[in-house]
Amino acid sequence: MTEVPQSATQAAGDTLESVLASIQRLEQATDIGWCSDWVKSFKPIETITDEFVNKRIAAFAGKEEDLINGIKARRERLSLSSGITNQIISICQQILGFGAAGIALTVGFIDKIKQFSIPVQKSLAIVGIFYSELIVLSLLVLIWYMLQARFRYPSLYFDKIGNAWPFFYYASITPVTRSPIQTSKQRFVASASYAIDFANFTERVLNEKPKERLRAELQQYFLLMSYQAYVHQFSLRLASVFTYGFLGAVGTALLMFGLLFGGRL
Amino acid sequence: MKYKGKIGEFKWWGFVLSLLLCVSVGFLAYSRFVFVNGPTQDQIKATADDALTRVNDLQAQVANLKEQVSALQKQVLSIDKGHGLH
Repeated sequence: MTEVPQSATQAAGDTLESVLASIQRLEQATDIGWCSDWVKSFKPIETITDEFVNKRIAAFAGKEEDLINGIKARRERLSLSSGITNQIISICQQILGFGAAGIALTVGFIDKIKQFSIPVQKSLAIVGIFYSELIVLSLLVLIWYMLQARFRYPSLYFDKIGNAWPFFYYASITPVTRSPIQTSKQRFVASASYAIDFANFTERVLNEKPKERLRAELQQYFLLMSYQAYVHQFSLRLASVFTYGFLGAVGTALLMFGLLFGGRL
Repeated sequence: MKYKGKIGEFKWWGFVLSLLLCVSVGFLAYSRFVFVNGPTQDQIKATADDALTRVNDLQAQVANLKEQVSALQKQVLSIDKGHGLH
């Protein structure tokens, strides 16, 4: 792994401490309601952060290429996927599938249940309650997962300190219609936007200076680390919800069976 | 504040809350059930056989009554003839 050089010098002007203090003051002074436009309120903080980062990079006296290679090597090693989420979703899908089949069978044979003895009927009722709770848990987990999958990360709304322009399309691609069925005019407009964006992108890439590359690499590295935190924490919380619910359902079934066999139910 | 390992650990109150919810829903659902014994197959067959027997008996009674009615009708006719009504 390439070592990151330690030759960065302290920038003239704002120090990290003063910038952090300014951000904290702005944060405390900003009153955000339930439906406030937080993006607009965040702009001053973004500006301060952007200026600080630019100053530090401008004052960097080491070799940009070395630092860029070090950052790239670290970024490639970031783990951005969760291991357990897919397993949990798969289990929930199975529970729902078998639950639907179970409901169909129950409806078909429910009149035959009266032929069993009362203790057997009670046992079947407890099993039915247990599986119903698992079905509700699975639905809850799937809804939670869909909310996480559709989560809009705050960095998507940043203009200057979010996704770096070489790594994400927001800064380089003009919004055009994404309808799967398009008219000739829509296709023409999209194509013209493509040509304009390509020309601008080419100019930007060819004129990119080493310090701008360094800024982009550093920015994207940090953004991916922030994304990793979201993914990891989402996965942990999904696993927690599933575990709590599953053990709750199992505990309930055990308690009810215990009471049944103890003659209390 | 920075992330620490504690944030990912299970919380005891999570289990307690989940168990309380599941138990309350479980007992609420259980209280709605009514457990009765329906008749067995033998009982159903015995009831059906009994009903069939009664139907046969009733049919036999109906046939008997029809015979009695036709015999009485014949008597009435013969009486009417003797009195010169036909």
